[in-house]
Amino acid sequence: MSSHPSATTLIELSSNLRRANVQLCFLGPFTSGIVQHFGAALRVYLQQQTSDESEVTGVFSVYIEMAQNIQRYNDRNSAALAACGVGASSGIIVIGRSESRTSIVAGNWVLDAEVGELERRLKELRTLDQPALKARFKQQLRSAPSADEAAGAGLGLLTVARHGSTPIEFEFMPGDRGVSYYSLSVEV
Amino acid sequence: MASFANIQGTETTPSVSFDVNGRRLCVIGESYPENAFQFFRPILEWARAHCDNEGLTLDLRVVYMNTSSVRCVMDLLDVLEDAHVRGRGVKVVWRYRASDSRARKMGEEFFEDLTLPNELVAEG
Repeated sequence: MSSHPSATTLIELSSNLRRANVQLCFLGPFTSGIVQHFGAALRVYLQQQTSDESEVTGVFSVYIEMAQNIQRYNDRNSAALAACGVGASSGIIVIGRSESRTSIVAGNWVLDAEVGELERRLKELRTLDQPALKARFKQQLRSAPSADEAAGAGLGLLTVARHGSTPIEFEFMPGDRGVSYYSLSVEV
Repeated sequence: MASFANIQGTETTPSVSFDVNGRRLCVIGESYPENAFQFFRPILEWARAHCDNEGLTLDLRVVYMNTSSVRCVMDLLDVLEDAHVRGRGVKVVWRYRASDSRARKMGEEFFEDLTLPNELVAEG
Protein backbone atom coordinates (compact mmCIF):
# COMPACT_ATOMS: atom_id res chain seq x y z
CA MET A 1 0.00 0.00 0.00
CA SER A 2 1.53 3.29 -1.04
CA SER A 3 1.69 6.10 1.49
CA HIS A 4 0.61 8.91 -0.83
CA PRO A 5 -3.08 9.87 -0.95
CA SER A 6 -5.13 8.31 -3.71
CA ALA A 7 -7.22 10.32 -6.16
CA THR A 8 -10.31 9.35 -4.15
CA THR A 9 -8.71 10.72 -0.99
CA LEU A 10 -7.82 13.96 -2.75
CA ILE A 11 -11.36 14.38 -4.07
CA GLU A 12 -12.74 13.81 -0.59
CA LEU A 13 -10.24 16.22 0.91
CA SER A 14 -11.09 18.86 -1.70
CA SER A 15 -14.84 18.54 -1.24
CA ASN A 16 -14.50 18.63 2.55
CA LEU A 17 -12.50 21.84 2.26
CA ARG A 18 -15.00 23.36 -0.18
CA ARG A 19 -17.90 22.46 2.08
CA ALA A 20 -16.16 24.30 4.91
CA ASN A 21 -15.85 27.31 2.59
CA VAL A 22 -12.06 27.10 2.55
CA GLN A 23 -10.53 29.32 -0.12
CA LEU A 24 -6.92 29.14 1.01
CA CYS A 25 -5.37 27.04 3.69
CA PHE A 26 -1.98 26.55 5.24
CA LEU A 27 -1.04 23.43 7.15
CA GLY A 28 2.58 22.75 7.96
CA PRO A 29 5.53 24.06 9.94
CA PHE A 30 5.12 27.65 11.10
CA THR A 31 8.60 29.01 10.44
CA SER A 32 9.48 32.61 9.60
CA GLY A 33 10.06 32.04 5.90
CA ILE A 34 6.89 30.03 5.42
CA VAL A 35 4.70 32.40 7.44
CA GLN A 36 6.08 35.28 5.37
CA HIS A 37 5.61 33.63 1.97
CA PHE A 38 2.16 32.24 2.64
CA GLY A 39 1.31 35.79 3.74
CA ALA A 40 2.52 37.09 0.39
CA ALA A 41 0.32 34.55 -1.41
CA LEU A 42 -2.63 35.54 0.77
CA ARG A 43 -2.15 39.17 -0.20
CA VAL A 44 -2.14 38.36 -3.90
CA TYR A 45 -5.33 36.34 -3.42
CA LEU A 46 -7.03 39.18 -1.51
CA GLN A 47 -6.01 41.79 -4.06
CA GLN A 48 -7.76 39.69 -6.69
CA GLN A 49 -10.89 39.48 -4.54
CA THR A 50 -11.27 43.09 -3.46
CA SER A 51 -10.15 46.56 -4.45
CA ASP A 52 -10.51 47.70 -0.83
CA GLU A 53 -6.90 48.13 0.32
CA SER A 54 -8.00 48.59 3.88
CA GLU A 55 -9.62 45.14 3.87
CA VAL A 56 -6.45 43.59 2.47
CA THR A 57 -4.42 45.23 5.25
CA GLY A 58 -6.93 44.07 7.87
CA VAL A 59 -6.93 40.43 6.77
CA PHE A 60 -3.15 40.39 6.37
CA SER A 61 -2.71 41.86 9.88
CA VAL A 62 -4.96 39.22 11.42
CA TYR A 63 -3.12 36.49 9.53
CA ILE A 64 0.33 37.69 10.67
CA GLU A 65 -0.71 38.00 14.32
CA MET A 66 -2.32 34.56 14.31
CA ALA A 67 0.55 32.88 12.48
CA GLN A 68 3.24 34.51 14.63
CA ASN A 69 1.30 33.60 17.78
CA ILE A 70 1.28 29.93 16.71
CA GLN A 71 4.93 30.13 15.68
CA ARG A 72 6.04 31.63 19.00
CA TYR A 73 3.83 29.30 21.00
CA ASN A 74 5.19 26.21 19.28
CA ASP A 75 8.78 27.43 19.58
CA ARG A 76 8.41 28.25 23.26
CA ASN A 77 6.73 24.95 24.13
CA SER A 78 8.24 22.56 21.61
CA ALA A 79 9.52 20.09 24.23
CA ALA A 80 6.30 20.02 26.28
CA LEU A 81 4.17 19.70 23.13
CA ALA A 82 6.39 16.91 21.79
CA ALA A 83 5.93 15.07 25.10
CA CYS A 84 2.18 15.18 24.44
CA GLY A 85 2.68 13.78 20.96
CA VAL A 86 2.22 17.09 19.17
CA GLY A 87 4.72 17.65 16.38
CA ALA A 88 6.48 20.86 15.45
CA SER A 89 4.09 21.48 12.58
CA SER A 90 0.99 21.68 14.73
CA GLY A 91 -1.14 24.44 13.32
CA ILE A 92 -3.47 25.39 10.53
CA ILE A 93 -4.73 28.67 9.14
CA VAL A 94 -7.83 28.72 6.98
CA ILE A 95 -9.10 31.61 4.88
CA GLY A 96 -12.71 31.69 3.80
CA ARG A 97 -14.66 34.27 1.87
CA SER A 98 -18.31 34.96 1.47
CA GLU A 99 -19.87 38.01 -0.14
CA SER A 100 -17.78 40.91 1.07
CA ARG A 101 -16.22 39.36 4.14
CA THR A 102 -13.12 37.32 4.73
CA SER A 103 -12.89 34.91 7.64
CA ILE A 104 -9.58 33.85 9.11
CA VAL A 105 -9.46 30.82 11.37
CA ALA A 106 -6.41 29.50 13.19
CA GLY A 107 -6.13 26.18 14.97
CA ASN A 108 -3.37 24.60 17.03
CA TRP A 109 -2.77 22.36 20.02
CA VAL A 110 -2.11 24.08 23.34
CA LEU A 111 -1.08 22.65 26.70
CA ASP A 112 -4.02 22.03 29.04
CA ALA A 113 -2.27 24.00 31.76
CA GLU A 114 -2.60 27.16 29.67
CA VAL A 115 -6.19 26.79 28.54
CA GLY A 116 -7.75 28.43 31.63
CA GLU A 117 -5.88 31.71 31.37
CA LEU A 118 -6.18 31.89 27.59
CA GLU A 119 -9.92 31.20 27.74
CA ARG A 120 -10.35 33.90 30.39
CA ARG A 121 -8.59 36.46 28.20
CA LEU A 122 -10.53 35.52 25.08
CA LYS A 123 -13.87 35.66 26.91
CA GLU A 124 -13.00 39.09 28.19
CA LEU A 125 -12.00 40.30 24.72
CA ARG A 126 -15.45 39.27 23.46
CA THR A 127 -17.09 41.65 25.93
CA LEU A 128 -15.16 44.70 24.72
CA ASP A 129 -16.45 46.99 21.98
CA GLN A 130 -14.10 48.76 19.54
CA PRO A 131 -13.40 51.86 21.71
CA ALA A 132 -12.71 49.60 24.71
CA LEU A 133 -10.43 47.37 22.60
CA LYS A 134 -8.53 50.42 21.47
CA ALA A 135 -8.15 51.71 25.02
CA ARG A 136 -6.97 48.28 26.19
CA PHE A 137 -4.52 48.05 23.28
CA LYS A 138 -2.98 51.40 24.15
CA GLN A 139 -2.81 50.60 27.83
CA GLN A 140 -1.10 47.27 27.15
CA LEU A 141 1.23 48.84 24.60
CA ARG A 142 2.37 51.19 27.36
CA SER A 143 2.79 48.54 30.02
CA ALA A 144 4.57 45.86 27.98
CA PRO A 145 8.24 46.57 27.31
CA SER A 146 9.03 45.93 23.65
CA ALA A 147 11.88 43.59 24.56
CA ASP A 148 9.45 41.23 26.29
CA GLU A 149 8.28 38.83 23.60
CA ALA A 150 5.70 36.94 25.66
CA ALA A 151 3.93 40.18 26.52
CA GLY A 152 3.43 40.66 22.80
CA ALA A 153 1.04 37.74 22.51
CA GLY A 154 -1.71 39.60 24.39
CA LEU A 155 -1.31 42.53 22.04
CA GLY A 156 -1.55 40.15 19.09
CA LEU A 157 -4.95 38.90 20.26
CA LEU A 158 -6.11 42.48 20.80
CA THR A 159 -5.03 43.32 17.26
CA VAL A 160 -6.97 40.35 15.91
CA ALA A 161 -10.08 41.49 17.83
CA ARG A 162 -9.67 45.09 16.71
CA HIS A 163 -9.63 44.15 13.03
CA GLY A 164 -12.77 42.02 13.36
CA SER A 165 -16.09 43.29 12.05
CA THR A 166 -17.77 41.00 14.60
CA PRO A 167 -16.47 39.73 17.98
CA ILE A 168 -13.82 37.01 17.85
CA GLU A 169 -14.96 33.42 18.26
CA PHE A 170 -13.01 30.62 19.87
CA GLU A 171 -13.28 27.03 20.92
CA PHE A 172 -11.25 24.60 23.02
CA MET A 173 -11.62 20.92 22.37
CA PRO A 174 -10.00 18.72 25.03
CA GLY A 175 -7.58 16.12 23.72
CA ASP A 176 -6.50 13.09 25.69
CA ARG A 177 -2.79 13.64 26.31
CA GLY A 178 -2.55 16.90 28.20
CA VAL A 179 -3.31 19.10 25.21
CA SER A 180 -6.44 20.79 23.88
CA TYR A 181 -7.23 21.96 20.40
CA TYR A 182 -7.63 25.72 20.28
CA SER A 183 -9.33 27.49 17.42
CA LEU A 184 -9.75 31.21 16.98
CA SER A 185 -11.71 32.90 14.24
CA VAL A 186 -12.57 36.40 13.14
CA GLU A 187 -14.26 38.06 10.18
CA VAL A 188 -12.80 41.12 8.52
CA MET B 1 29.34 61.85 15.87
CA ALA B 2 28.96 58.17 15.11
CA SER B 3 27.95 57.46 11.56
CA PHE B 4 24.67 55.79 10.80
CA ALA B 5 24.77 52.66 8.72
CA ASN B 6 21.83 52.63 6.36
CA ILE B 7 19.75 49.48 6.56
CA GLN B 8 18.43 47.92 3.40
CA GLY B 9 14.82 46.82 3.42
CA THR B 10 13.67 43.22 3.13
CA GLU B 11 10.21 41.77 2.67
CA THR B 12 9.60 41.86 6.43
CA THR B 13 11.77 44.76 7.57
CA PRO B 14 11.80 48.39 6.37
CA SER B 15 14.71 50.27 4.89
CA VAL B 16 16.17 52.82 7.29
CA SER B 17 18.23 55.73 6.06
CA PHE B 18 19.47 58.96 7.51
CA ASP B 19 19.82 62.14 5.50
CA VAL B 20 22.50 64.10 7.36
CA ASN B 21 21.74 67.48 5.77
CA GLY B 22 18.00 67.34 6.29
CA ARG B 23 18.43 65.60 9.67
CA ARG B 24 15.75 63.23 8.47
CA LEU B 25 15.52 59.55 9.49
CA CYS B 26 13.42 57.71 6.91
CA VAL B 27 11.80 54.35 7.65
CA ILE B 28 10.19 52.92 4.53
CA GLY B 29 8.57 49.58 3.77
CA GLU B 30 6.89 46.90 5.82
CA SER B 31 7.70 45.68 9.28
CA TYR B 32 6.65 42.28 10.54
CA PRO B 33 9.78 40.38 11.57
CA GLU B 34 9.37 37.64 14.12
CA ASN B 35 11.58 39.58 16.51
CA ALA B 36 10.99 43.27 15.91
CA PHE B 37 12.96 44.36 18.97
CA GLN B 38 16.14 42.87 17.56
CA PHE B 39 15.65 44.87 14.38
CA PHE B 40 14.72 48.16 16.04
CA ARG B 41 17.19 48.14 18.92
CA PRO B 42 20.13 49.72 17.02
CA ILE B 43 17.80 52.34 15.56
CA LEU B 44 16.47 53.17 19.03
CA GLU B 45 19.98 53.44 20.41
CA TRP B 46 21.02 55.64 17.53
CA ALA B 47 17.98 57.90 17.95
CA ARG B 48 18.62 58.23 21.70
CA ALA B 49 22.19 59.29 21.04
CA HIS B 50 21.43 61.69 18.20
CA CYS B 51 18.11 63.46 18.46
CA ASP B 52 19.54 65.90 20.98
CA ASN B 53 22.30 67.14 18.68
CA GLU B 54 20.71 69.19 15.97
CA GLY B 55 17.13 68.06 15.90
CA LEU B 56 15.61 65.23 13.94
CA THR B 57 12.65 64.49 11.71
CA LEU B 58 11.38 60.92 11.78
CA ASP B 59 9.77 60.14 8.45
CA LEU B 60 7.70 56.95 8.55
CA ARG B 61 6.20 55.36 5.47
CA VAL B 62 5.34 51.91 6.67
CA VAL B 63 2.57 50.09 4.81
CA TYR B 64 2.15 47.35 7.37
CA MET B 65 3.45 46.70 10.88
CA ASN B 66 2.91 43.79 13.24
CA THR B 67 2.17 44.51 16.88
CA SER B 68 5.74 43.95 18.06
CA SER B 69 6.90 46.53 15.50
CA VAL B 70 4.19 48.90 16.75
CA ARG B 71 5.68 48.60 20.24
CA CYS B 72 9.14 49.45 18.90
CA VAL B 73 7.89 52.46 16.94
CA MET B 74 6.16 53.65 20.14
CA ASP B 75 9.53 53.45 21.88
CA LEU B 76 11.09 55.46 19.07
CA LEU B 77 8.37 58.10 19.35
CA ASP B 78 8.94 58.23 23.13
CA VAL B 79 12.59 59.07 22.50
CA LEU B 80 11.53 61.93 20.22
CA GLU B 81 8.82 63.08 22.62
CA ASP B 82 11.39 63.30 25.44
CA ALA B 83 13.68 65.33 23.19
CA HIS B 84 10.77 67.62 22.30
CA VAL B 85 9.97 68.16 25.96
CA ARG B 86 13.61 69.16 26.45
CA GLY B 87 13.14 71.77 23.73
CA ARG B 88 14.90 70.03 20.85
CA GLY B 89 13.68 70.50 17.29
CA VAL B 90 12.12 67.14 16.55
CA LYS B 91 9.22 66.18 14.35
CA VAL B 92 7.48 63.06 13.07
CA VAL B 93 5.78 62.50 9.72
CA TRP B 94 3.48 59.53 9.02
CA ARG B 95 2.88 58.78 5.34
CA TYR B 96 0.15 56.42 4.20
CA ARG B 97 -1.60 55.43 1.00
CA ALA B 98 -4.74 57.54 0.68
CA SER B 99 -6.81 54.44 -0.11
CA ASP B 100 -5.81 52.59 3.06
CA SER B 101 -7.92 53.87 5.95
CA ARG B 102 -6.41 51.38 8.42
CA ALA B 103 -2.95 52.82 7.77
CA ARG B 104 -4.23 56.34 8.37
CA LYS B 105 -5.86 55.24 11.61
CA MET B 106 -2.61 53.70 12.78
CA GLY B 107 -0.83 57.02 12.25
CA GLU B 108 -3.57 58.91 14.07
CA GLU B 109 -3.30 56.57 17.03
CA PHE B 110 0.46 56.97 17.19
CA PHE B 111 0.04 60.74 17.34
CA GLU B 112 -2.85 60.92 19.80
CA ASP B 113 -0.74 61.10 22.91
CA LEU B 114 2.17 63.10 21.49
CA THR B 115 2.87 66.76 21.99
CA LEU B 116 5.77 66.83 19.52
CA PRO B 117 5.05 68.32 16.08
CA ASN B 118 3.53 65.69 13.83
CA GLU B 119 2.08 65.47 10.38
CA LEU B 120 -0.10 62.91 8.60
CA VAL B 121 0.52 62.85 4.85
CA ALA B 122 -1.79 61.01 2.43
CA GLU B 123 0.00 59.80 -0.67
CA GLY B 124 -1.46 58.66 -3.98
